Amino acid sequence: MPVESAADRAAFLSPDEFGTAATYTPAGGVAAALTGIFDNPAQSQFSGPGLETSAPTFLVRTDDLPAAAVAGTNTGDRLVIAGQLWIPREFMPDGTGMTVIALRRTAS
Amino acid sequence: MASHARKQLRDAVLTALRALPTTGANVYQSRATPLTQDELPGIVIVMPSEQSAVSAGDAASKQDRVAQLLVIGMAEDAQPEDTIDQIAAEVEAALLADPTLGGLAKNVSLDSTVKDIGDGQQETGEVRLVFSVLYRTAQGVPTTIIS
Repeated sequence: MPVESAADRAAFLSPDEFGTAATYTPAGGVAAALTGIFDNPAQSQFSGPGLETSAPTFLVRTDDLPAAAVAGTNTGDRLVIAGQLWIPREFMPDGTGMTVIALRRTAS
Repeated sequence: MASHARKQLRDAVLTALRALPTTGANVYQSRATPLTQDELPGIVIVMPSEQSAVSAGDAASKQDRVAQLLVIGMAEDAQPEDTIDQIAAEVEAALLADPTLGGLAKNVSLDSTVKDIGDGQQETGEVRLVFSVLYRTAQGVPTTIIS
């Protein structure tokens, strides 16, 4: 059972606190506003010497995701965060009311 | 002191692979740190090992050497496997257009190719091309390449 309430989670994600406003548009659907916490930590791929990239994610309330939202690299869903377009490639709910969306950068 | 023959060969490879269409100036030698975003797509070259033996039928004065040349191509974009295959095509064509590396080597040949696809901000790709570089030096004089 989650410790915090839905209102607590909403306050945590507020742009006045730690959150960022974003827009989620399901493929063929209507854009929906939501807020979340964007994170993009550096990450290395391969070895000897490999390359530097990152692992972008967006933490949201599970209930804020549009009902028609489908994660995946070819579903057509799009997420705009601070003017940057992303593909929501995977939803990772934590079972307590929050979902981490794994992102992929895209130009279109 | 003059540089080891392998350094001379690596420099020749660097020259051959600089300014290829896909990777341009992003060609690095013996790189220990990961390539950054603005260095992609890019190539890293290294000679990690070598086998050597006295030339057959010789009075122990000449040494035949086979250096392993590793050419690593990397990319991050929407279709990285296409990009690394393109890098491989350009590298193979450039190196094997002159398999003597300007007269330094007896031959350069492609031994194997291994690819890997990963996940980052976009999809990432790496291709490892392993070449054998056959050359000869005088015994005990590794800085001079001979015929």
